Amino acid sequence: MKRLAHRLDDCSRRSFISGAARAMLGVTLLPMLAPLATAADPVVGLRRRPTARNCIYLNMVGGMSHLDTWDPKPGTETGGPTKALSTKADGVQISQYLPRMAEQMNKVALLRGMSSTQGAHEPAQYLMHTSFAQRGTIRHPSLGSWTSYFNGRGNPTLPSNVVVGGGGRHPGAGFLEAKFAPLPLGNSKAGLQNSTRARGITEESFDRRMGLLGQLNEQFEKEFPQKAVRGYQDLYQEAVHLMGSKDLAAFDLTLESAEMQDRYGDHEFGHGCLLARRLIEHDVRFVEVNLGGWDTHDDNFERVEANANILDEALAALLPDLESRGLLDETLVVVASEFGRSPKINQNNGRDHYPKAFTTLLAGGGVKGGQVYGATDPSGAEPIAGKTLITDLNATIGYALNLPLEQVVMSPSGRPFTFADKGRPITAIF
Amino acid sequence: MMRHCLTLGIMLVLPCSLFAVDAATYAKHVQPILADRCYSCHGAEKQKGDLRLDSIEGIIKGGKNGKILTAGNPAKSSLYHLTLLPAGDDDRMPAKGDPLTQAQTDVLREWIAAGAVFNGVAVAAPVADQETKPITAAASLHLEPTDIDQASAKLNRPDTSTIKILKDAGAVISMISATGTALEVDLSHLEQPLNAGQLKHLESLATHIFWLDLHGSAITDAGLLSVAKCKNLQRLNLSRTAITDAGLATLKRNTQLKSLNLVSTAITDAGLSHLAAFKKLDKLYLMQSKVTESGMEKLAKALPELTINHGPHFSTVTVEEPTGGKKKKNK
Repeated sequence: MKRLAHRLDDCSRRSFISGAARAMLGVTLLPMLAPLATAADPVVGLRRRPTARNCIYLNMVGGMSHLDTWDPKPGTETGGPTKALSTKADGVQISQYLPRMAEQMNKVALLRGMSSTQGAHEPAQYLMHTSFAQRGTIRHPSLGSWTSYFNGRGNPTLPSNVVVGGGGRHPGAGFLEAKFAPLPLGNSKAGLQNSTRARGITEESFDRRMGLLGQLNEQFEKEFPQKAVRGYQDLYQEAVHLMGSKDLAAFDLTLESAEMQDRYGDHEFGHGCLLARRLIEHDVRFVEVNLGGWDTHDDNFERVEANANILDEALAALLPDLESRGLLDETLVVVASEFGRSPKINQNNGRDHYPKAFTTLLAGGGVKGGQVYGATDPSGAEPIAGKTLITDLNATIGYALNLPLEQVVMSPSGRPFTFADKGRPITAIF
Repeated sequence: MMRHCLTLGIMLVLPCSLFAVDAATYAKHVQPILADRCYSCHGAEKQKGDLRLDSIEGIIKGGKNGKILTAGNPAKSSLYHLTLLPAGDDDRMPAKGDPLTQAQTDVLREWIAAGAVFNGVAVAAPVADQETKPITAAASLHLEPTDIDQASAKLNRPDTSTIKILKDAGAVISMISATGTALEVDLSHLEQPLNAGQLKHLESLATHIFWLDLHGSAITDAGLLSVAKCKNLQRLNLSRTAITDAGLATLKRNTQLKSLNLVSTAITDAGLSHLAAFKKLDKLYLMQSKVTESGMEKLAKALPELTINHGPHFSTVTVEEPTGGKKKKNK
């Protein structure tokens, strides 16, 4: 750091950047203890290995009120009319709007000390997807793309990561190659659109056309052996693979029994969660499903109740369904929001943006169920224990998925990045 | 242009493997790099920055800017990270001539990451295997060793060429320990079943396989003979396969098993009875199999710690009367 500061006197851009890289590396990593290879007695403090290889990331868009969902404060002024339910996890209460989840809380860990640095939707969503603050000069990769980059794909013919109902602002693959980008799906019930050959095109003529395309591209690719050029070709190839995949059925929700479809609920989010389970079953590694409507500046309590009912139905179906298939151990389920909502109830009976304190839910993937990590004060305004930043949450996700957290990856412009920036994983919950 | 080559190089190198072909030692691998590229400025003739790299003492002591080596932590060791800087940077090392090659910086990184041992214990050298990812997180985040790290600590590194052969055949293989010796092998997406030769290769990796995923594959009871050779196997997924009770009997020596998935198989109570020998088993999945309540009860008696899952236990949607007021606060 001293060297860096020294340098700022006559700062050339290049030396500043490489200095910053070093400074960043320096603070990212803690002082070294005994390296693993020479650890004297490895039995002491032995952890269970996190067992996740998949992630279902349920994104509560708009800022979910922690006070009316996972961290209720019944009987207080800030708690409002929301009441609390006892749950299957001893001593853990959640809001009355999540009755089905109350029965599943033994599978779940709540991080009640979450805190973000961003209070507006877009930058806050960007931060949770990428671990970095949004800026004009670079686009950072999203969690699913990082996972795909480090861990590869689980199913050779299906995309490695999928976003259901994500909208156009998703950071996608960021500066990574296009092949790591998530497959965006609008309507999960409609399945995967345009994944078959157009009518009237035989396999033979399709292959011939693709061959011709290859020939036309060959010369250009040789002359410009660049990422962007390769990315274009990769995209075509992937689409063709996908068209021929025997696992395309993963996208078809009609193959599920009516009872199962009922369980997840007849709404877009329920379909998305059911699709997520099917995709995970077919070894898609990272599926994000979005549920909007949490931006409750007015009529907070009615609107949270309605939205929580949707979340409750789908999530309380998803967790036992994954468990009974043996998938919960290897799938980390995250229910995250970009921020919480204000303890103060405004004049419209609403709650406003509140990044200082909120709750994230983790389940499966080796996370011990039935526990709460962190806490807010009695008004729900401030984390008083286990304060967890977005980057810490992301580091925890990365840790569960066995991603190399301290691995520095250079962007094409030569800037160094890691999966969770400076985040530290919460290993205590595994 | 130089810089672009370098950064591109880094992007390619970093996600590479640390599987060993042969051991890298200070004397055999690191010292030659230093001698070739560093001694001319940091040696007997010149000691730029008061640093000498031509002796072990000199490397440990560092230069006028302090230490250059933090054992186990390449990112904090300027001996390594200064070699990664862009070509035009004043601090780039070597200051003259071409940057170090990927292979050379890999050697430095691996040697430091493994503890920067100068004499005696050999550490692993990398090979450029783009597909296999490194497990370096444990070293510098100071995560304590996991149970799999522990169980795989004494194994040698698995053979890279064997892994490559299996990957080419469609297996998805990943490293699941910081020791670089424990593997997860996923054979569920093979286009064709492994042939005899490939199966031999798989068997040669047997002791390294801690997790094995065969769900939906064409494996039969006969194939389980190969699985039985994986003595360290902890997690096995056989769901949606044609295995039978007889097949399970062949697994009786796989006593390290902790998790077994038999969802959608023809396994009956008779098959379950073989599982009583798996004292470490703690999760068993039986949805859509042919087992009965009584069979599960019997097994539960033999293995009281075991959790048996045989179907989803969904919430019953009876809404409890909400409690308000001063209910005891959560932890």
